[in-house]
Amino acid sequence: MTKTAEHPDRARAFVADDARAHWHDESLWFVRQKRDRQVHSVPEWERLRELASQVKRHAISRWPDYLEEFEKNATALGAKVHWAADAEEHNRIVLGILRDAGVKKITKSKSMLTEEVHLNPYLIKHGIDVTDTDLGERIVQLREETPSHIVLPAIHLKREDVSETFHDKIGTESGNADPAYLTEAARQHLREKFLGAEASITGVNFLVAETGGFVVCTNEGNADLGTSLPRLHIACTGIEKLVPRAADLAIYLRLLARSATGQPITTYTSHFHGPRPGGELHIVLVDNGRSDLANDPQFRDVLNCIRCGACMNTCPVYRRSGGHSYAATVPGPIGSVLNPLHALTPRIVRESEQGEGVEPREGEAGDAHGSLPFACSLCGSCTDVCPVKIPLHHQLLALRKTVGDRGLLPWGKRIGMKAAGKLLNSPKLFGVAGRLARKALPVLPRAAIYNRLNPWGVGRDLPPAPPKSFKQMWRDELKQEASSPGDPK
Amino acid sequence: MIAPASPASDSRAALFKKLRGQLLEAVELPDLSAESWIRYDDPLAQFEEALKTVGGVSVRVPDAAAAQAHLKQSPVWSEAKQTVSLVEGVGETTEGLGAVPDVHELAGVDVAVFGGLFGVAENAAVWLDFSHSDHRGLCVLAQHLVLVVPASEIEHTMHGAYARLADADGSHRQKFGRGGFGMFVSGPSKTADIEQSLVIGAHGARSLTCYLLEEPDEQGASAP
Amino acid sequence: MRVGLFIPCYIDQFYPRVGAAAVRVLRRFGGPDLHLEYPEGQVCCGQPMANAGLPHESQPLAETNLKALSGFDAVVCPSGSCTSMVRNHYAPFLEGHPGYEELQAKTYEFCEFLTDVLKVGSPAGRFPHKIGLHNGCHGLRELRLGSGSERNVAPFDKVRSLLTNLEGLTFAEPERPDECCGFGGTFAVQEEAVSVMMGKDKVADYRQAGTEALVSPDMSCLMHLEGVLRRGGDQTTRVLHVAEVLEEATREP
Repeated sequence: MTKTAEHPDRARAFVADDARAHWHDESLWFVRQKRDRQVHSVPEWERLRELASQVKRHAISRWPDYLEEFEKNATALGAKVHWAADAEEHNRIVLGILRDAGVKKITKSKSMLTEEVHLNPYLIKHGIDVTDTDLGERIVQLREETPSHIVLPAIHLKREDVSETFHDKIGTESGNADPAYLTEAARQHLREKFLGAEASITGVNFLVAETGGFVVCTNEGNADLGTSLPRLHIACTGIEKLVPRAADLAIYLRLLARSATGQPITTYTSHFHGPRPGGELHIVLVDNGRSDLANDPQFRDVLNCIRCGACMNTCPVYRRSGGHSYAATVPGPIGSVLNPLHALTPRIVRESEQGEGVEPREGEAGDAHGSLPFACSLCGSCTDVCPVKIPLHHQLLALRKTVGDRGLLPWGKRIGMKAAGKLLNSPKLFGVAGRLARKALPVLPRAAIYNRLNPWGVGRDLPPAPPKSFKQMWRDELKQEASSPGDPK
Repeated sequence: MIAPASPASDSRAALFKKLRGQLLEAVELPDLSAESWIRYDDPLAQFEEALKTVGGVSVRVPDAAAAQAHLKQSPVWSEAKQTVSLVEGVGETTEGLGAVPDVHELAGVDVAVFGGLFGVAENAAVWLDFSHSDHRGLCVLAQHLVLVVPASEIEHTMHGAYARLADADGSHRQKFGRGGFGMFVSGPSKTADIEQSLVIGAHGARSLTCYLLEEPDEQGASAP
Repeated sequence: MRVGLFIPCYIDQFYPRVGAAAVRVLRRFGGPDLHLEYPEGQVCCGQPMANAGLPHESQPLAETNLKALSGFDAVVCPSGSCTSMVRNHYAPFLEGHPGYEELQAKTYEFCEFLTDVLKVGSPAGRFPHKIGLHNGCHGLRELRLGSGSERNVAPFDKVRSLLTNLEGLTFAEPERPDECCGFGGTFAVQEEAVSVMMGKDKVADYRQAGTEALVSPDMSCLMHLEGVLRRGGDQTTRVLHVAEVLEEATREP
């Protein structure tokens, strides 16, 4: 089995371009620093995180009640609420709404949900002209790529890359890579799309059970421009985006943009309650595996996620390996939890109900993301920046066990670790092995130590081997020294 | 061809059955009124400072007439061909734009003037209420945005902001429940999607000027 | 007070001098009432297997250590990472075993034992070097030996506080004070490319800050960083455990 070597391979390729990997690292560290400055301007920051976590955990603990409340209130406001069990059903519902309205051209504002369910290719296949309007999303759409970050979709690209793409696709001057010029060109290009669109799709940041409304946050104004022009608005959202009360929004809006980009709040924070006068509003609530995640107390808190991306910006691995190395819609620490969890959980849930030996369903290849929980040094920085207190690095550690339990670790690792466990559990064996190694290391030729079989030695020297182990030193000198009166010299 | 849709209630019923079958430990909903939040010594000054950091410009003026005088002298105004104002006495509406039936016809508006109910000191957000009008498109279509906010109406934090928007019982069922649209706007539209380099003027307003009226007259600061 | 020394397996084999320094410092600051013992039945904390996704391979090690390390007034370990393993990650193996909760409560990281139990404050001594202090991630974020740059809490740093009063010692201030060094146990091998890049970046950050000695309470981070340093041709920068700095700085002439 070689599947678990996937992230390391892609990461190695990214790291190989040293200048670009460092540029990527610096770009994201810059965002992390902006975040830190904002965090330190809010004295009650840690309290807000605690409250944000508690409110979300409360909402999930009474999930069906709040979903029902939301549906009732949203319907009363004139919105049409749809329920989708999975990606396929979601896409079918959206297409159905567009067809019923005779719509061919739509604009979309940023939505990780529609990325997750691969809505764009589905709609395009069915003859709908879809334009992503967030600048970063538009750039990756024109390049036929996927976002490499959930908040900064084009963070992996240099201005020269964007310049080239815009020159090819929207006719900007060749070689002009000035971000202001390119942004202006996109503004003009997308204005036409906005004005010509027959419907608009947005994501959702928060669903408010108490009022039946929802909140969308953007800096560019694309969600507002998109939804205020055509009469049809479809809002697509995961069922976990619920908060019980409108007053709870204050907590999350104080945390979200500060954590995401280091701004005190996004430029536009729009509260939608029912359709525009004369308009039509559809809200598509998608499960797509989310309901399974509430069962396990160890992983339940991933449902707190507000998709701020702070864990990516702080992750030393993400910054140096690039979002695409995760080969998943959501990359970085939260993605390394969500993707394997979504791949493994439904089968685990069915097994707990029906016993062992449940056949995997299509798309449940649990090994697809098996290397992601290991793409992590367990430094814990993600856990400490997370505004909703998801214990990300603990979950990544726990998921390694899940991957191991399901026999998805490479054979060599399983055998190696088994042997290591035996060796390390015997003070005597360990002492003998250590003595042999310490004796051998200084006299072995370099080629015998530093070769392809020793990944440690590719970029690092081994420590010099001391003549004695600590245990030997203890026996020979330290024990006596430790028990002698007076200050040892 | 797409497959015929299964009855919508199937997925809904299955989901609720599953969720109702899960026994999750109770987690209390925190009482936010028991919390204490940052209070600025001078919320107005903090609002102005925050607005500067998000790329906006604040101008303290005694009243609407002074805001009008200042606005008329600004390059944004003098270069504008089409303008719309929803604030009595500040800016004006180009003839013919007062009652267009379709927001698409406002695509050429250079400056739009809105009244904000209140501002928020911690983040320079201004609440715009569109529950009685459908002008929300205008505030992103217009090239430049002018807001008029009473200088006395500055909340310290977002908690105060939502308290402002609440019903008498502290919930938001009545006001939000009536439907409509409202938004917080903090500075001009912006993006940093190309190499993290900040560009003001993404899709929405290229500039935001906020007049803080120290002695607002009756209509000066009313909602649009 | 009877103190059991818990010496990480890699210190036992590769850095016995660190264990020796820890012994001497504990003796020096613990006074005559502190009785140090090194229970020879102890084994590796089990972290490599647990972090590799095979925690059941760690179970026997946890059980062995519970047996070996029981009965002391305190267990002291010169590694934040191994201490965290015992304190924060032994529950699935040892929950319900007699003595487990006691072991969990009484296991201290070396610096933490000096500041919180022996209450040594900021000892006097002399160490005339500009040091780059690297607080390992597990000590910092799992044991909370310091406030960390991510959180908005009153700043503190237990490791640094032990060094602030040493004559001649100055701190090199790296631009990213608590960025991970890239060791991460099996991560160093599994994600070799990223791990080495992190190590090189860390070393470069300390170098630009003028570091003469690289110091950490976690020798595993230092094993990785020293490997990167030496491979890069730097044979002069000293690489030391905090225990070694304290031992050298407070040694009677």
